[in-house]
Amino acid sequence: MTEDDRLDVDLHRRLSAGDRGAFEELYRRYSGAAYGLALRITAQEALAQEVVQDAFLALWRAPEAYDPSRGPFRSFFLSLVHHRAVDTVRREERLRKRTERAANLGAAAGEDVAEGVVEGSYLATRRKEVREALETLPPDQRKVLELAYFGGSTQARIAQELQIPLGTVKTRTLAGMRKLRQALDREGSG
Amino acid sequence: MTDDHTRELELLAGYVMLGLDGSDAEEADRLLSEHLPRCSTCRDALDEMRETTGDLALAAAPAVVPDLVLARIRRGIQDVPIRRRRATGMVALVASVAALVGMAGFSFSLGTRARDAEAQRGTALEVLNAVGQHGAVPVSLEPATGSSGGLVEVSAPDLERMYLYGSEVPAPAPGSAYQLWLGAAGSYTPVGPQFVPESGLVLLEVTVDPARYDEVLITEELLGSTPPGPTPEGGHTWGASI
Repeated sequence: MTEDDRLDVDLHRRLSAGDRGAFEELYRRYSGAAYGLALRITAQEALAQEVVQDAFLALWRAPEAYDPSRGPFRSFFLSLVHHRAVDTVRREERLRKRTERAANLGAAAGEDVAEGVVEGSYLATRRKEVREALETLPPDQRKVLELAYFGGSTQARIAQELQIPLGTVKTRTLAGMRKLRQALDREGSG
Repeated sequence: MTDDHTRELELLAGYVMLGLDGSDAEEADRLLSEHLPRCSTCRDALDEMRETTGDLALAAAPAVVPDLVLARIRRGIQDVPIRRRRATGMVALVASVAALVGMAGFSFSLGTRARDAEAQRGTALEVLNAVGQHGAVPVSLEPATGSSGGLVEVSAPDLERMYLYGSEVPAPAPGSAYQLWLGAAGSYTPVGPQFVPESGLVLLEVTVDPARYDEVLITEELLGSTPPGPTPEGGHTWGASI
């Protein structure tokens, strides 16, 4: 656990006791990453704002949902944002077709941090490590992860879209996640 | 279970990526509620996969959040004090809700050891036996299509209390939790905080006059959300007339 992870745990402990200052500090630390993720998945500012708002309110209402013994707060909270964003996209898709813009990881990976984003150096460092780790994945594994994570697609839909068997999607997903974890562990210890 | 856990790990990977549907989603539910409590390999793998997907979020470029979002959140916080849910007329009838098993844990609570699960199951049965001595009749909650696990409601009118017991209840999707609703004449009221099963087990004690309600419903909702009514579509649902 890094020093920043420990700081998050302390902020979460204070938040759980009703400390609004701690809640706003967590907002300051993670709202930029959360909004960037939500914007990437939903591809709409209004929807992304709704996702971020809902995620932070969920954190306030049920802080006990995070168990520090199960990993960093960052992973928990951004997974919460991811789930809400994907849920929003799937709900919207019932109403209309959306573009494929959000599923293109290559474009986003090359984006610079937007001017004005306040982000701790620890997140910027981790972001660089994640992007470098993604680059180490074979393109077919990376594509499957992109479509699932940022495109919000089910595995069945990915198989249909890439015209490959469902079993291949499953295999590539697991292999891609394993390689990504290994690469991140190497980056983190390097 | 496969010898090298490949099938299980593929399901877990699809689960944390929110990519499962149909029979795969049902199989993952069974895996989470039945296999994981007994398998440290899969529990550790699930924790690791969750951390990986959390990291993957950082591949998206951060963006400046408009000030209005924080303003809305501040208003929302004032409306909903921490650890308390909104009160409505019908909720006020519910004096208290206590979770004997599985409340307030998110799906991370799946790491509970099997022997804990056995002890909890024993406690649950003792409680239900005690209620049964007051002449209460158990009512099974029927799962909607695609939902598994068994849930039983036991009411004890003279005690003004209701118990809900469930075993092999699947974990909700990541970022979701279960919500108990009581219905009267087609109007539903959320009762108590959201909950998740622990090792597939659920035991809720609800202090309420069961005579005031004619239906009990459990739905899967986004964690921390307070929908105006149950949203049975897109998640596990159980219900029964009482």
